[in-house]
Amino acid sequence: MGKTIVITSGKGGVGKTTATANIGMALALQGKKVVLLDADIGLRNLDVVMGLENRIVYDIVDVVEERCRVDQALIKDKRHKNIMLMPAAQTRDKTAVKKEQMEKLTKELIEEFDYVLIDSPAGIEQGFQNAIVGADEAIIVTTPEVSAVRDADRIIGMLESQGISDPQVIINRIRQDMVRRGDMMNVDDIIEILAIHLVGIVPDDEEIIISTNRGEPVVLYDKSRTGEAFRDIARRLEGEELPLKDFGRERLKDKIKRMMGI
Amino acid sequence: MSDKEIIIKGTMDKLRIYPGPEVNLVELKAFFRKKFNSSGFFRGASCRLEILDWGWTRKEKEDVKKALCEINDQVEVRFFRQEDEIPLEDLPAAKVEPSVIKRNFRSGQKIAVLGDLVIIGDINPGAEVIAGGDIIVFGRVAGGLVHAGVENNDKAKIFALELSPTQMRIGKFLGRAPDENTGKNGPEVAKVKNGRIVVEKHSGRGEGKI
Repeated sequence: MGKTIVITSGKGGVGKTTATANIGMALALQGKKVVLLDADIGLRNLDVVMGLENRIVYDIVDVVEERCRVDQALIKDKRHKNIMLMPAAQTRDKTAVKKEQMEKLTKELIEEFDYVLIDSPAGIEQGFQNAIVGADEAIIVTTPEVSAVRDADRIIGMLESQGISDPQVIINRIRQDMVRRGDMMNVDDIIEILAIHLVGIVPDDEEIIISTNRGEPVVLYDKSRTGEAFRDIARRLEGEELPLKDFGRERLKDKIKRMMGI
Repeated sequence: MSDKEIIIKGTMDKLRIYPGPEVNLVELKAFFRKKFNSSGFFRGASCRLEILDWGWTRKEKEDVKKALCEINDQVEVRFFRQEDEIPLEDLPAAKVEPSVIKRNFRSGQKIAVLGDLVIIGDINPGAEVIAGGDIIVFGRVAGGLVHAGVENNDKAKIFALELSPTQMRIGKFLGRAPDENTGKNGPEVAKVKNGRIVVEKHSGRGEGKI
């Protein structure tokens, strides 16, 4: 039996969708069968980040309203056979799916896959409630900003009251140079407030923006630091104990740039 | 009082509800839901509630009780006939034993108790902790609202291993965090002195005692 994990944050724009796509792809690269479920109905993005936008025929609302079978709505990834996407509907809103329908759908999917990763919408309203209802575990994505951490804290409380205890946190977009200068919250500060398990740190890097725009998860790039961070997260989800890497080291390229004053 | 009106009288822990003779059960339940769901305070606080009985059946009363318990399972509901009414002041107070709670309070989470409150855990920004008596936190108050002595009890105190709430209230007094607050001062006690809230280092004796 597989695991259903919801990826959520409270605050918008912290990198839930990117994290979902990359963790999913990393797990697939490890040989796991993964399905990504976009629960952000009305504002779907996961298909774009995965580069599968033009393959959508049916979506999650078609499935719950029984206009198609589950397997008809699942889109096979073009790069890896182990990963599939269930896209959200774009022309409807969060009320189009009910909690019970969502629960039924995730139960059905987990029979076939090792991982069901649910990309949650921002906020704490029905869309979020729908996203967490079928989940056994949760990964909270936050950035080193007070507002994002505050929202993450709220979400952890809400997950606890819904019976999803011990969520794990990803700290996204950390900039070690700023942390060193004392201009950014460091990992210890964040973990002290949230008091939950840290599953990974992802450095802030422009390569993630490039890969997202291209529709290629960054884990597919071998040399990428962010890709490495997401691959590590996927391995930790599989139970491996990996030390947290210090992504603060300055790359030679950047060092030369800095010294030349560019 | 019109026949359709519902009147509430009482203090924080003792409420008496006077529905007009024409008020039916559906309206009464809707009233409770509206009143008590919107006012967050009632949530999670133990409370004694008495409702004027116009001769409802046992089943109807159970129904109302059930609806109220769904809103707050610590509420104690009782019905009384008009001729049996005793003044509110003569009622014994609801139970006020200190509450001990072992958990963290995260943003958006709230607790309100009538007596003293002991929390073993942290209080994060965005949380609300309210007590009729003292509030003692064996942990860090990293933000949030901490309100001790909620029913005009100015003698209440707040203690924490690290005391830096966003806002602190004791009885009717209010204080907010200074703009520059490191929050790493060790155990501290807050109390009302000369009409304002002061925070002192906890020393275990004399002035700094809880």
